[in-house]
Amino acid sequence: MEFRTNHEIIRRARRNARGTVWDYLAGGSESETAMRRNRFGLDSIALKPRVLRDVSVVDHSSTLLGHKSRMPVFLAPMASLQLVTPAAAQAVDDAAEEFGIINMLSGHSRPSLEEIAVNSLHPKIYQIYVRGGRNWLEDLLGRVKENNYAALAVTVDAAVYSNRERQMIAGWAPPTRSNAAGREFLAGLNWDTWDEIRQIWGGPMILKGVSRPEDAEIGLQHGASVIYVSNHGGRQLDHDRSTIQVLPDIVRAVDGRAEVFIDGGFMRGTDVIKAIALGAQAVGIGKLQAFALSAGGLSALMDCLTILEDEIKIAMGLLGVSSLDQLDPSYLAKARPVSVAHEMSAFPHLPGGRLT
Amino acid sequence: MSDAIFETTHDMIMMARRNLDQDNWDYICGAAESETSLRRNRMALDCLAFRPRICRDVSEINTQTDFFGHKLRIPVLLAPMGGIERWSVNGGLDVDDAAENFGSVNFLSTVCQPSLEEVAANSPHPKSFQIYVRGDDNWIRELVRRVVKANYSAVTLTVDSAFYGNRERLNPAQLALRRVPAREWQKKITWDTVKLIQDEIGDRPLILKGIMTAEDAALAVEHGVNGIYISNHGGRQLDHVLGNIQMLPEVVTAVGGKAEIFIDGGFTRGTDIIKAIALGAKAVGIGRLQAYALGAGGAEGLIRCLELLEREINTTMGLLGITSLEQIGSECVTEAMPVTMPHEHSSFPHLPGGRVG
Repeated sequence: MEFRTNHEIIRRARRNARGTVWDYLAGGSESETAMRRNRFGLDSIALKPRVLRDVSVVDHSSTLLGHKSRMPVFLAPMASLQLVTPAAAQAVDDAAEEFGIINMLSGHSRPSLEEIAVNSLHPKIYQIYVRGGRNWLEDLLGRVKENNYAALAVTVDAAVYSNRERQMIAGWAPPTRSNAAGREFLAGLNWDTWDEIRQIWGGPMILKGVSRPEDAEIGLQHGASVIYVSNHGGRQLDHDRSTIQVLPDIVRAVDGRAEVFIDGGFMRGTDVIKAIALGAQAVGIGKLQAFALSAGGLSALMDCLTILEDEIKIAMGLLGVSSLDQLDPSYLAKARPVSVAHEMSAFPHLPGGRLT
Repeated sequence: MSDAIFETTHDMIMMARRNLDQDNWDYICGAAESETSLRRNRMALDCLAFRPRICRDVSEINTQTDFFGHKLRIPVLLAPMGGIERWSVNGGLDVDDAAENFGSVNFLSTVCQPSLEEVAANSPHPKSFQIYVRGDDNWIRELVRRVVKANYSAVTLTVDSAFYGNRERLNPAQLALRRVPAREWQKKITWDTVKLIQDEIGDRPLILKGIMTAEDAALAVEHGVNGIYISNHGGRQLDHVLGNIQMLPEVVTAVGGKAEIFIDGGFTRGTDIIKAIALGAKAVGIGRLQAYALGAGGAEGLIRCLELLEREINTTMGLLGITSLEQIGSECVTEAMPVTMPHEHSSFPHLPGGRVG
């Protein structure tokens, strides 16, 4: 392994990324309050360990929609990954296959969904931004089906493209922003659109971008297999709550009728364990994934996942649990954060504390 | 869209800083004593978070509201500010031009140049005149008659300035400039002053600016006041009051729909404005933000600033899943912990050094 900590991965990522690409990967929207809240929410939870429980064998494997996963982590969809390295989405798919986890391919990343699918056997998920009407959907979803994607994630927190001010100050926009055809379909998205997609697609569907139990309930009534709690990494609605803060309400509303996924600020094994203890089935990593890709493509992403897995193992062992199903809210306590929350605050040894 | 002289409010603030001398910068940015009130304004806004809804078709978003029946393009008012002519060459006329051009309502301060008649003659849109009392009852009557004659749509009386707050950033020369003996009259303002003004203005709405308690809001309603303007003067008067938006719920309850509620103090983002609307304000005043915009580019700068705010309001509404301001209620927001140290620039995290002094 080239990297032993994610500190090193982030430092290398910063060295490798052009300023504008870094702004895109590391930034949030407007005042970046929602982005910071994700970390703040995680830092507002403490762990309560049990002792003398024989943790010589720790099993941190899980399943996502019935598919086996080496750990309760998946690679969240990210658009414009090709900015980091030309074949970044391919590296993500390769890492998922090699490591044994699930990845979600963003409808906005390159290479194409066919190219990604051609050499890959593991289950993977396609994430869609709705940018067209019936014909567009039939064409795209036909291609997704033909290429054996296991599920479809529909992003619903992007009705409007947010103001990402790091990019705006630099006078730069990612390709997904500049070629923003069909934006009106994202704005017009409603439950009829969802039903139409469901009818065309026919397979398991993930509702991505939920933060209110009312919407989780509607999602279930409309056949969602997964409620995916997300504020888009704090990159869409500014001043949104942290995702971990809303997770308990969503879990309560879903009440076992679907799986609950979450993302937003997850950087550490302890972060993942907190979400699992609160009832999430799996945790998506976005920024961390992007940092790893920027640090060194496939091999750095493999290192990053190995580090995260190791952290999960350590957290479970020290908590006194030997499998994920033993985790519940009794292992958690409310706490006050002890550092200023930002996108890198889980890594206190970065030079200057934060790389911009 | 006006010519894009800046793309973000970050850029606007930096442009203003480059254009303005230290005296003006200190006057605009600063507040009273420890500047705790100023910081509390931001802190209180940062203690609220949104609860967005999804799949609600937000293709058409309407950001309009009204100010006593006059259309407002966004729920934003240009708060009264004294001495604008010191950093924007045409003073109150620049603000008036921006309001006319964009579709907002401006408040002309008693201590802003040029004269109220000149500003009134500058444009046809509705505006409000803001009164500082600088003389006896006859002086007030005389002033209000001029305001009525010039056909201002509303009259605003500032009630939080019995004393001048200690603005400790200001140097002795700047302080001397603001040491006006006639300010003593401010100390004598009572509910009788309110009555006296009401007798002169007829049907025109009267707004009391600087109310910070439910008790005074209720008294104002009893006295037939039409607009309750929650304000701590941008933290520039009494230090250590609460953040303005904290006062909204109790004032809304006390007013019980019998008057319109306005608010200012620390509002710099579309998200801030939507929070105030969610908690029952009719519209939000911008002061410092207005001053930066004028410093960055005069009337053009202010129009651009309003366009950026409009864009942020649109984004916030769309991502909240709402298409008109009436749909926003208190269920859209909830309490949260702040994630940054609050100060006058803390909603702009990419400023060099984080804060521009």
